[in-house]
Amino acid sequence: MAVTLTSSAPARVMTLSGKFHYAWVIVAILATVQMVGQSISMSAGVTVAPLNDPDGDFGWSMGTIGAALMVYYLVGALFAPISGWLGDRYGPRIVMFWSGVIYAVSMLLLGLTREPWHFFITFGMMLSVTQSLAMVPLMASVSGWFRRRLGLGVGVLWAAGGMGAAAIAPLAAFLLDQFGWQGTFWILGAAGGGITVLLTAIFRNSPADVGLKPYGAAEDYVPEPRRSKQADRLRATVFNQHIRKTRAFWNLPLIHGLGCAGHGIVLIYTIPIAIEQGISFVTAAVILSLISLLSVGGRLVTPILAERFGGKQIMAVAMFIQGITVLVLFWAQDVWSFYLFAMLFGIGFGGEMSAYLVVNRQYFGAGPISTCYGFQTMGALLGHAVATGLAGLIIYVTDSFGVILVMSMVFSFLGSLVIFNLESSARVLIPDWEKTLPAEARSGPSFSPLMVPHQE
Amino acid sequence: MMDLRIKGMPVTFLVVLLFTVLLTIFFGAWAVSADAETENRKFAFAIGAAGPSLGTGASGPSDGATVTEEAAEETWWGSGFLKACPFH
Repeated sequence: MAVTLTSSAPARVMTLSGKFHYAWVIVAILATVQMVGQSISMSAGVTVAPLNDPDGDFGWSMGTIGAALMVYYLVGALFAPISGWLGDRYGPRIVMFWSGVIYAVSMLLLGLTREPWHFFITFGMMLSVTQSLAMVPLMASVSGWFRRRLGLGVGVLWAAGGMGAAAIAPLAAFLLDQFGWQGTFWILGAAGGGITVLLTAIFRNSPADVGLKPYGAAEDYVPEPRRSKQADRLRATVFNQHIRKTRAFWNLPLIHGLGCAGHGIVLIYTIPIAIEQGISFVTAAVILSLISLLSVGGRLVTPILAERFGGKQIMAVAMFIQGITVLVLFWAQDVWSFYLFAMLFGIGFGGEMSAYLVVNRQYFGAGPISTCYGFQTMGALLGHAVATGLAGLIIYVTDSFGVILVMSMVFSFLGSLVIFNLESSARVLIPDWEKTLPAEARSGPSFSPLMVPHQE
Repeated sequence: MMDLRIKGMPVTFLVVLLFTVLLTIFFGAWAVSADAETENRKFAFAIGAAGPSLGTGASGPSDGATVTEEAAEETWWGSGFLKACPFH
């Protein structure tokens, strides 16, 4: 494999020789950025102890910290469609650059936090916006790099990001122990922001930007024509007008929200449920880590299966597995039964979240999908926010974990039911959306709305 | 597959959204009522990746919880839950 960099106005153009397609470099870049983005929420858990420590520098109440986390969720949910729109309008590369800059500045300011309002602004708002920028338009951009095997690309992306993200929380805990509050966030900010900005140099919005065909394109594929920014904006506007007429546009965020509500409850309460059964905190934490680790398999395989057999069916199966495996927790008493639960639940949990980009391709073709994916992310974050609040209320009034486990199952099964109400994913729902566009804004002659037909 | 819509939005979407909102209002009002009846019990929402949400019983780590020191029914959100729920 050899990478050759050549200059071509206005941007440097990269070509690759050998069989290794540049799409996999894009996947690696996005997996790294995904880790940086997820490091925000993953490090949230380990920041609570120093913030809450009455003998430490802060000594804030759990109410103050919880309110900041709630703001974090809500700002992230509200900003997700906006960040998607920014991706569609300005391209993911410029969004990636600014997400790296804002990440570094936010972490720098977070390190200087002394008052609760500092934390609300830096963590609750700035980092929430940063994570949204890093997760929505950038993840959606992988779609344009694959003509075939989008499922594999998305699967590898989610799996690699998941493994990296699982390592972030212990890393943040180690840094806090070694370097304190300010040192930790300055290190994370410099490293994460620096890496993201540097990776912008080799990231490209589309294969056409480096003179390549998308991965898996046919021999006679004609590259997409270079379009003006006005044409791209018009495409995004018209595309979004068309997708809003489909049931899938409305129901996919709802399904993502129900799925996240279903697993969000479990992720929050697995540790206290295990502790209630007499399992030590350390072992209970291992169970939670196992869920994350074992979800990697689901993250990897689900998009591949969704591409092969249809996203609708595979999403329904993953959601059903996520719901039904919660039953194990009702009888789990020893550590091995919790390990069994982690293994089974991880499959459904990993599968629930990872197929959306493939499903979007199957429903909406190869149009500018970032805004649509932003709404799906909005649904996911609102699902987490509602589930955590609702679960807290239910435990308060019932004083047991039983009802919230039933609630988790209800959310997952409800998600499965809504999936069955989706249109068939065997055909693109808006095959003619480009017909109303002027010729200069349309796709090239190689445009094919559905890349890999599947049986349904 | 049925395609019933209200103002362009699928009925499935609206029904599930309404169900979730009503569920939240019901449990919210129930929790506020319980808070009013139980002294020395701190009301809490669990937010984040781990941890119980109560000032009672469950133990373990918590990475976030909103604990109000004042009675929940006296807060704007507590009275809002009670006003919105016909059962409490």
